[in-house]
Amino acid sequence: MIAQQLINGLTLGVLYALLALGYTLIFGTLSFINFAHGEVSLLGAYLAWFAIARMGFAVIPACIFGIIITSVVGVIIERVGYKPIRTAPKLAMITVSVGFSYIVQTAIQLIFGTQPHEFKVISVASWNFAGITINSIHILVLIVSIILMVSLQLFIHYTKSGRSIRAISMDQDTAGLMGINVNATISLTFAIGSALGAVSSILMGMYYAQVYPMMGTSIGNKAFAAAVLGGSGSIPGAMLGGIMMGLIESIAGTVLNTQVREGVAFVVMILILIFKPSGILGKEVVKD
Amino acid sequence: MKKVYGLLKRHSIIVIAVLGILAPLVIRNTYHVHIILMCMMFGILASSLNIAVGMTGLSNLAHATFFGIGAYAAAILNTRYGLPFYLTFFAGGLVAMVFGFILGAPTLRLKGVFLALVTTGFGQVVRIIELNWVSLTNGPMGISGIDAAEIGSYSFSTVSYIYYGLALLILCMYMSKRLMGTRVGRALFAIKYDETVARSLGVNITFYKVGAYVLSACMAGMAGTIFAHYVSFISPDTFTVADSTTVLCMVILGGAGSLLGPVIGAFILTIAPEIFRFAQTYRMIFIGAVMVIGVIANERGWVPMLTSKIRGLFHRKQTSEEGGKA
Repeated sequence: MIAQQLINGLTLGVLYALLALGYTLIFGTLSFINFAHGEVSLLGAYLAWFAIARMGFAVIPACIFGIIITSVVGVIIERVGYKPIRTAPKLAMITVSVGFSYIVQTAIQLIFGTQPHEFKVISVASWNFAGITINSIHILVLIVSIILMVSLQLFIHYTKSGRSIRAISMDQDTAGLMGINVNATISLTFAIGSALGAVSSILMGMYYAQVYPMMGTSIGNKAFAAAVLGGSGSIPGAMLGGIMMGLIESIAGTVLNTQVREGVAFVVMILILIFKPSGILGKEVVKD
Repeated sequence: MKKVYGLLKRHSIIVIAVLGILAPLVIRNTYHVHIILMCMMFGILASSLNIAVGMTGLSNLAHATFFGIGAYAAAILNTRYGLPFYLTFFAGGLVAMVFGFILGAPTLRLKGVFLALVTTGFGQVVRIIELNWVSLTNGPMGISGIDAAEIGSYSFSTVSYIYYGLALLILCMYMSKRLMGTRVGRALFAIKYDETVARSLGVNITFYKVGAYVLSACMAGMAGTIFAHYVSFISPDTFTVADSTTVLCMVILGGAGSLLGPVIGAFILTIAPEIFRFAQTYRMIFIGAVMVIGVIANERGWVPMLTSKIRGLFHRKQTSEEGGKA
């Protein structure tokens, strides 16, 4: 029973981690929590659903379509919404991001309808090991997430663009003086963050076999709690925080009850912010 | 013209009071009366949130939660223990104050984004408690049958709720105005602009921050009690996280830190969705767009921007000195 919960928690955890990476990347470069990230990411799942169910795409092209469009939307929002107020107080940016979360969420409801849609895109096989059920979605989620996290780490550390992102998160002005294109790099962070979020929401849709309009908010909330738990701005922190959050939630769901489960993420986040605001691995900037 | 404008601005509280007193005499339609009352409620919320956000620079994304806590306190005390309105009113304020203290005391050393996160989390946790602590809050079913407010033998009609809300709104604005002019208010503004400097000048940071927070929570809680007695039914869905962000939006659009701005922001954002009710499905897009465009168009908020524009019309030669003021 506990082992089964650990598997479920781990699967959920890596999905939170993928989403949390978006929050943390954006926090690293612009020092604010992008409240619209959950909703923008959900767009990925809806677009993939739409491409499969309405446009007759195959699964993989549909997912790529969803990821690319989401990424573009993320960059557009950054250009239109956050760029003009980068120097403003952070509260202004938070307000704008909340505004965008309303816009995207309502747009999703208007375009795709308020009803949940079935999202069964791959045939699910399941195996039983000594009472623990593992299905192909668990394995898919784990493999895809681990590949993405490893590649993100490699990208951040060993490419020029990755180095630019780290430089900007340390000191935007100095990075600009050193010849880094600040605007392009910030847009790049939004592109990467939104793409990871889209992957997360597509996988989440497969995991729950459905997509619904409030999904972005509820999962997004837990993901930013996870980002804070791991340490805002820290990439390994977001991964660790996401996985821990998934495990904590699964275990709390078993030990306590399923209603309380929804609130656990927030209690953990509040406690972390009170006792260790920088999180487990947190520093101010996106680096090790 | 300049004189009239200056007079209006200086006595904005009296202007609001007169308008508020006259409004129900002119407007008889129940639906319009309801909207005016909601304007009062959101006016109080915005004005009280302004004490924390605008004057002290503390972010708070859970202000509607305090409103909800006050309303729940009133509902529980009234339906279980039969307490009349004039007692639940103060009890609701007190309970909200206690919660404000519980939230504020450990978390107010956090800054900006992190404080915003804590308060979001607090709002969610309170909501989950409201939904699940069935023996106290009756869970998702909510509490119904809250008595209409009465003081002595005088029972409130819908219109008298407006006057009650107006009285609280005026109190709230008057308090803010008095605060701004005194040592306390200057201490709050000092904390907002530079905490280190404020501390080195001998301002007791913790005391003022927690004080501002508790005061603003108390006002919201009191407004909540009026609302609970007015609608006679409350449930966890009455006060959502979206309401909290809408209130914050009112303050920011109206101009955080100004006296009249947040109240006007509240009026506009309460009335506008009603006017555009035919486009109900687009309502949240509208609110979202207002938040985005409003903040980007002017980080200082719309109302200060417009007032300085209007001032500019009256005496063109003068350079905008309004800009320097917070």
